Amino acid sequence: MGSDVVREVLPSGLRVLVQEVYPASVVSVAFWIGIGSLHETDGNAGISHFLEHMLFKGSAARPSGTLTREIHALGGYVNAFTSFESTCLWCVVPSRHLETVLEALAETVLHPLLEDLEAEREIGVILDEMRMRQDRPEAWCTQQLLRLAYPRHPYGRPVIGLESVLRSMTASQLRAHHRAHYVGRNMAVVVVGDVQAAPTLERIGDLLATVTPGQALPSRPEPESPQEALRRLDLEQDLSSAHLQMLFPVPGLFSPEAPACDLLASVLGEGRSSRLCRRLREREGLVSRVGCSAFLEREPGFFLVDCTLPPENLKAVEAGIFEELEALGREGPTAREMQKARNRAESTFVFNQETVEGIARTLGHFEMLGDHTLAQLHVRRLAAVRSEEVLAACRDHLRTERCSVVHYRPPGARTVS
Amino acid sequence: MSPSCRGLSPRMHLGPGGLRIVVAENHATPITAVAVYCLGGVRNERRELSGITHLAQRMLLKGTRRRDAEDLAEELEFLGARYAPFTSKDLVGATLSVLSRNLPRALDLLAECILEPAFLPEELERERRLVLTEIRRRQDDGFAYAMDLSEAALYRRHPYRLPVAGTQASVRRLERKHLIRWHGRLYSPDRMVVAVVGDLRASQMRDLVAEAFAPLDRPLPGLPEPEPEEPPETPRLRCRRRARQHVALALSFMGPPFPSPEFLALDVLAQVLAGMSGRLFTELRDRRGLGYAVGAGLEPRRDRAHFGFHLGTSLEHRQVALQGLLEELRRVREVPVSRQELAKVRRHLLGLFAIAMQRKAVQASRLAFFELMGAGHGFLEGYPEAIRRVTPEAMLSAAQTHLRLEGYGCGQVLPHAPSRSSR
Repeated sequence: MGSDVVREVLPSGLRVLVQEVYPASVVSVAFWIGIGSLHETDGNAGISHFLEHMLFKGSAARPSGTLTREIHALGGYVNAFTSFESTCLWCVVPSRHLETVLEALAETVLHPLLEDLEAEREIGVILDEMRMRQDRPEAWCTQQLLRLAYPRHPYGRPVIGLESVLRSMTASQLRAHHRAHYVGRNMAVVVVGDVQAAPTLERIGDLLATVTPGQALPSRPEPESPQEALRRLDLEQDLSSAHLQMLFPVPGLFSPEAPACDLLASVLGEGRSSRLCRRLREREGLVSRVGCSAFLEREPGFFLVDCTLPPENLKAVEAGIFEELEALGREGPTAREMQKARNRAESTFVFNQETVEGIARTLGHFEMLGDHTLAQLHVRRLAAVRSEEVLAACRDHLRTERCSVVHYRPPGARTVS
Repeated sequence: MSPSCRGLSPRMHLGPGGLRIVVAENHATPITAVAVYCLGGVRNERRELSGITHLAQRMLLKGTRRRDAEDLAEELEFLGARYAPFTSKDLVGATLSVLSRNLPRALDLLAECILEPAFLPEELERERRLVLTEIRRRQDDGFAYAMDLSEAALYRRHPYRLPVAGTQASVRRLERKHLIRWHGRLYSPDRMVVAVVGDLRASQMRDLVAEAFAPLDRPLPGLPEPEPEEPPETPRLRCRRRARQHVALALSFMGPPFPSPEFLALDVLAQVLAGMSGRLFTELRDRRGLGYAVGAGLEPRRDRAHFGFHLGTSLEHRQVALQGLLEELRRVREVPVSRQELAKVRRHLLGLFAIAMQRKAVQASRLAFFELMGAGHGFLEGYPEAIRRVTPEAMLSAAQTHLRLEGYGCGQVLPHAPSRSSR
């Protein structure tokens, strides 16, 4: 599909990854900064996401809004996101414009203006975004679930922040946040596409030569205290369908149990033939949608179950999920289920390699977790998991007393006492 | 040849019954993508049985004469396949992407789903309940609901006014015999295209498709055709109130048929208005702060394309935001787009095209779609050139004809009271 990944570390500690991939004349460039909501406190919640928005609001050489228009006019697109762990500004363009976008993205990330007036205006936009999320039932339900499961740990706070905190946030706070965290040892640049690695590396080295290494990396939050009893939240809203979501804490990506947790999600809730979907949707017709996912980054990880259903089925579905977890924790997955989950993981990996932005996303994501080769390593680790390990992961982690559950439903449909 | 189609040289073969098989080799990844497209969908439905195509399509995965729904899902997922039947206003079909070494088995299973669904009564009742839940669920999604309302307002009689999944009443009315009869009329080989893009030999891919769809050996009678409908003379509004934080608003206009030169002109015009560098975003959100989400989209259709706009805003800004949106539409009807702006938009459009075309699933779907809609599979390769030929004058003229501000559909989902602050 292309060459190997070339990785170089600049004197500032900034990591540069380049992969030559040829099928189409396009290139993806991404700047990753290791700062996200995990590194925030109740006093500055949402500042990383706010700063990400402000990258589009002008830099030394580009007035507000110009970056997007410039990249679009080159025939590409640019976007950004903030997660628990990182902030990422990325784009895809025809590969002949590599030089232009490298310069544009570097300038945007290193020299944002962060002006008072623009910041004040942008708070309004972020509050609008917040309200829109409230109107998206699945997203709102997940946010409430995380808050329930993590009363102390930052996972419990929305990445977008808290309204009261945002309203009083100033541009000078943003400037300080930028100075402290947009530094060499906390950043990585990823380039994937129809490009040549050597000159690209050299060019990036020149463009980013003035980046300082910065101080120590942001500290990691204290772990949440262990949970000893099931937590439950029942929320009413003017909805037509109900939502049921559950969360169980699991170990992170670097735990030996991580691959087993991944396969657990696949066996239980990925695809129509997964255990939960087969029973709750296909056989009993109780849910219109059910899925599982394992969120595996640095510690801690978590395991999610997510359903959309008629409100009158909430009780039966919750009971059904616990029965299936119990059965899997007792009998373990079949050999065929294990092979299906591995086949699925392999296919997903290959499908993600179809686009330059997909490859770049995977590389950057794992590089920020410590090592870009983790993606392939994870696929190999999946191949080696034994069914007893999946059984053990289910029995040890998907326990009723560790579970947090949210019912988000139309009024009147009382469900579980 | 555009960079995105580098090395993609599709060839068409005619199968028995007139089935068109379009095959292209692409050795970039060990994946093969298949798109089975067939003319016939909501456009051919009667109002009383609205949703019949969608429910019949959903039953394709619920068991065949040879195996039950669980076996089908299990086998396809064991192969790591991505597969999905779909229904649109004009078309039905299914797509499949799979590691090429698993193509023969996966393709056989997909063809079996399409050709031999069993419509088991018990499965049908379960699927009907799920579809009814999904219809309700769609009303919780402000933009989806507003767009449905908007299109229902735009058309009075034409089936484009009907939602793809049907209504609570119509879906309850659908009987097994209706579905069997409808499915038996839909998949006629002379109205079908199967496109395959993969890293196998072209002849091998062609033979696999021909063999899998061999039972389709003769054309079926035509489907009921809708009466044409003219655009409305006045704006038609449909509002619903829900307990929400923001207003979701949608506008619908009737466009030209696809394919047509006018459609291409509007395709470029849509890009002038849409997206984060488009006029709507720049003017309404960036400059005036009137809403978080704003966008435009042009959906190609056989009778009349759907030119849709959406806007998410607060209750207090609703009127001024809507006026601002209409003002931007008035502007593209009155003032030609400058050469400079057109050049930028064109580059953006063609860049997005090349980026999307990295995926074989996109290549296969577009080949099938263009061939089936009458543009020909060669249109894929010719698309960049056709876009380059669009002039500001053609865009102005298409806007004047089709963005009729005197008559359109408008759907709104409104909060009960002024937006309250979030937690």
